[in-house]
Amino acid sequence: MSASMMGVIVRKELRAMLRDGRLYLLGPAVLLALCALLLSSANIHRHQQEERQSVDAQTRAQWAQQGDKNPHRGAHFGVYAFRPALPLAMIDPGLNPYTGQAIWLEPHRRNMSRFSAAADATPASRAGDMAPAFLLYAMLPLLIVGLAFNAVTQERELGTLRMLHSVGVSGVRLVAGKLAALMLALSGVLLPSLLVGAWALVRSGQMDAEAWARAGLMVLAYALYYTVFAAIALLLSIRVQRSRQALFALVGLWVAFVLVVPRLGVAAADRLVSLPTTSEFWSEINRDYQEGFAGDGNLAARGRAFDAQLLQQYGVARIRDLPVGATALRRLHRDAYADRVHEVHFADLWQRYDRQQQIIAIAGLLSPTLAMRSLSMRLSGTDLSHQQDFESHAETYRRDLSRHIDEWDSASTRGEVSYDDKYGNNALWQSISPFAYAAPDVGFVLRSARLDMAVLLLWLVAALGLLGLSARRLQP
Amino acid sequence: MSIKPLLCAEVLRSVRNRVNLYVLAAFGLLLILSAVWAGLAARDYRDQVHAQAQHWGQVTDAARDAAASAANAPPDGAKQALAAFSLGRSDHAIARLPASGGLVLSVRQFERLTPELRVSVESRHADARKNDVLANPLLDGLGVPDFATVMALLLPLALIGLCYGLVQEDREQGIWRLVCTQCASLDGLLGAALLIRAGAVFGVAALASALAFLIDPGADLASVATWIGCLLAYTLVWAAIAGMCALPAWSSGAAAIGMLGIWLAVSFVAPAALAWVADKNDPMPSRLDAIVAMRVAQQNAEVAMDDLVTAWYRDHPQDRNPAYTSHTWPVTFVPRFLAQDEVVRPLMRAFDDSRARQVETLERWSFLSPGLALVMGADRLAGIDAPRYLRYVDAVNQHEDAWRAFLVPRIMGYRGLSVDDMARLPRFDPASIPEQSTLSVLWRLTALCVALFGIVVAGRRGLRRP
Repeated sequence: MSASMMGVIVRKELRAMLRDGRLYLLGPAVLLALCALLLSSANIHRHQQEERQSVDAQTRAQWAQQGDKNPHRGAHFGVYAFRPALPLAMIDPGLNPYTGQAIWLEPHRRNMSRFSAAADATPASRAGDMAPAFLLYAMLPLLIVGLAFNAVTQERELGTLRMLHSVGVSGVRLVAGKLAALMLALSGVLLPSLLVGAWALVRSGQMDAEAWARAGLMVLAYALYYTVFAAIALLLSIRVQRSRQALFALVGLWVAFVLVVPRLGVAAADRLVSLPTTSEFWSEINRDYQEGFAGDGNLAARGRAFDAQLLQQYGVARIRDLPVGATALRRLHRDAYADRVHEVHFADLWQRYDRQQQIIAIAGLLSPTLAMRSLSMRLSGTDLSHQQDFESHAETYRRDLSRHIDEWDSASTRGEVSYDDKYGNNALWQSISPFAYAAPDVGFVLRSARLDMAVLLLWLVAALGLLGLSARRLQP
Repeated sequence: MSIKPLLCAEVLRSVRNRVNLYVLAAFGLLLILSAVWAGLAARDYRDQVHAQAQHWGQVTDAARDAAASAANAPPDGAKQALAAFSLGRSDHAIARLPASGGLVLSVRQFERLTPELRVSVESRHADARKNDVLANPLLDGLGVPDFATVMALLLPLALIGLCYGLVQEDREQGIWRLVCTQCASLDGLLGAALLIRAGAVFGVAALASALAFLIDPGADLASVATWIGCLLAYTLVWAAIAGMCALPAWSSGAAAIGMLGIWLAVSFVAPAALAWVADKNDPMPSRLDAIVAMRVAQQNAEVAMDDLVTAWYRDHPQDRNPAYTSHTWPVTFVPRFLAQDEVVRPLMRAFDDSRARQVETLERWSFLSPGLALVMGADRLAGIDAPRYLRYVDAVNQHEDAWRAFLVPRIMGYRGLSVDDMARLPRFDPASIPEQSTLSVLWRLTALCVALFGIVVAGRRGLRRP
């Protein structure tokens, strides 16, 4: 009986939505915009992938064909590490426009990721980046608002709520039917775009089990997110008396969730956790390298101690008499210290980023959009944790490359050598294997997204719980 | 009929609707938060600039002292060349884009667009540590809460909220029929209603703006006046849009959704479409391709390093020091850096040039997105608009040429810098950046406002429908 009653309510609600015309007007508009954005984004993604691969190959060839050079100068020519984009980045480019496109890997120093697309952006992007994810997390909720704001208030205004009440339809069943119908209508709008998205993903040629798992989780996360919005929309429609008030309140909440809370979170994170300026950051690294950490002595003292150790180790009186390349060994020693200094300062910087991120995650308690956005970026591999993972891999590769060349150098020379001696050649450059990076697995994403998932689930439980309570007390 | 009773009636009608007060209160609160944040950020930035200027003074003083003490020591050309080279590529040789009086409007955007460039005898483009800005990408990705952006997004929403059901609700309740029969000037009535609501929103926006400008010690009166003018025009544009949506015989819900639809279209869709058109007209070069080109220049210059040194001395015989017949770093590297930069500099300038041209296209079409026009106006008032930035880059390039013309002969000639030279070090003159009028956005918004009110006036017959 209850199942058939639910079915009747769902059918009636769907029919009412279709007759009303809003679904006919808003649904196709959203579907069209989403499909257009998906196709355009897939196209951009493919172009960027091809360009990245081509430039990666060219820079590798430039490295491998440097010709005869001093090995250290060859190392300074350096290589570039490019982060491959995961296929879901076409749906949510996330922080990709802001993180830089490449890192220059050279001896002595750890560089930042450079050449961010955002640096070349015009003010047109200030309100938001037009990507499928923007439509999914920011605009789709407005469709839900548009469809659901008067779901209950209209019944009340027209007097049909009293009639339903009098024939024994319980508030919970009525609201559950409305929620189910709303979600079905939304699914009807989104299903074709889901197919278009799946087709675009398959066409990227990058889909494997990991990528499908990420995509599946993303669909699930968005389904939960829309359920939160649908529940909030129905909740307000129950709680207020008139459709006008419901629309006001819902649009107000949408503005708060999508526009206000994220910016308040950013403002709070910005003021509560300060970052060093560029010059401060690099000056401090230089200072610690030159002056040394407490008890380590300064650069000159460390160098003298290392020279003494070398002389003792090889049983010679002068550096020039060493049977190995002292210049390269000194460099290895200095670079090991520089790596330590960089490690400390970069760890501090990333900790600051992390603390800012935590403040924003806390702001997510005030906005499911913020939690969803963060989750979407993590699943797409376009968030800070993926960037950090990439940068740490690139850093490991940089150190290995630098060490490999210096070890070869010290084995190939004796005593001190001039930087103008050209004894490195293509065979040396080519002996360095190319930089290869594989994004972390889904487990990494789930671990890093625990807070976002918890916040989203909290919103879901709260919204559905309050909706259930309000539905039970629903009065005409 | 006098407008005064209409205005009084509309004031009462607005004030007695509690929802209107909530909307205004929420709008005011958010703007005040944004104003305080932006004001403090602008103040911090100006303090930081001041501290850095002092630091640069200390650095040059230290270098002058070192030059003075070196003058007493026996001359060592190699050391002097190295000292000059070190100063030449020092991190403290900053050419700063001066922030304008409206910095508080787009303060984070100002910082993100690299307002300080370090000129060098090396290529400043190859080393990210010279100029790149350190920022958490997450904060940028979530949306910089700059005052102008917040204003551009929220002001229309506040006005839409206040103008909800302006005529339609009266129609739905059957009151409008009475109004039509009793009121001689329906357009006056609508005008008064819009004026009161626009005035309330503008008042809150202007007060919040005044607060932001008050906190920023570098704000100037001209920027305040221009911004207030832009804000007024922007408010009136949205009042006109609300007026247009009040004319047809729609339901109040449909009119509200219509206004929201317009807001979405002009705030999000139009800027994206305009950006696409601008990019089609003036495509942004590829940063990745630029990496390949930079490396080609780097490799070519390195391979030709010895020839470049020889060529430099051939072209500058007066700077050849006969005591030095063979050369090592840094002398051998300087001509290489110069050759490399001849290729890299235009490559990098092309990005700023393209952005400036894209922004000019956006400005031409900004009447399609008043919010974008307001933000671009704010950028101009803050002094970070793309055309000005390009002029700044050109001025920096000229300054870098002067810097190199001064230092390179002293490095290559193993002369180093004397105490007198230290006093004559080229300084970047911010006045070398040509300034342009910041009023263009104001005129554009005003023209749009007049055009939209023209449409409202032309369609005022719609008010006669009961």
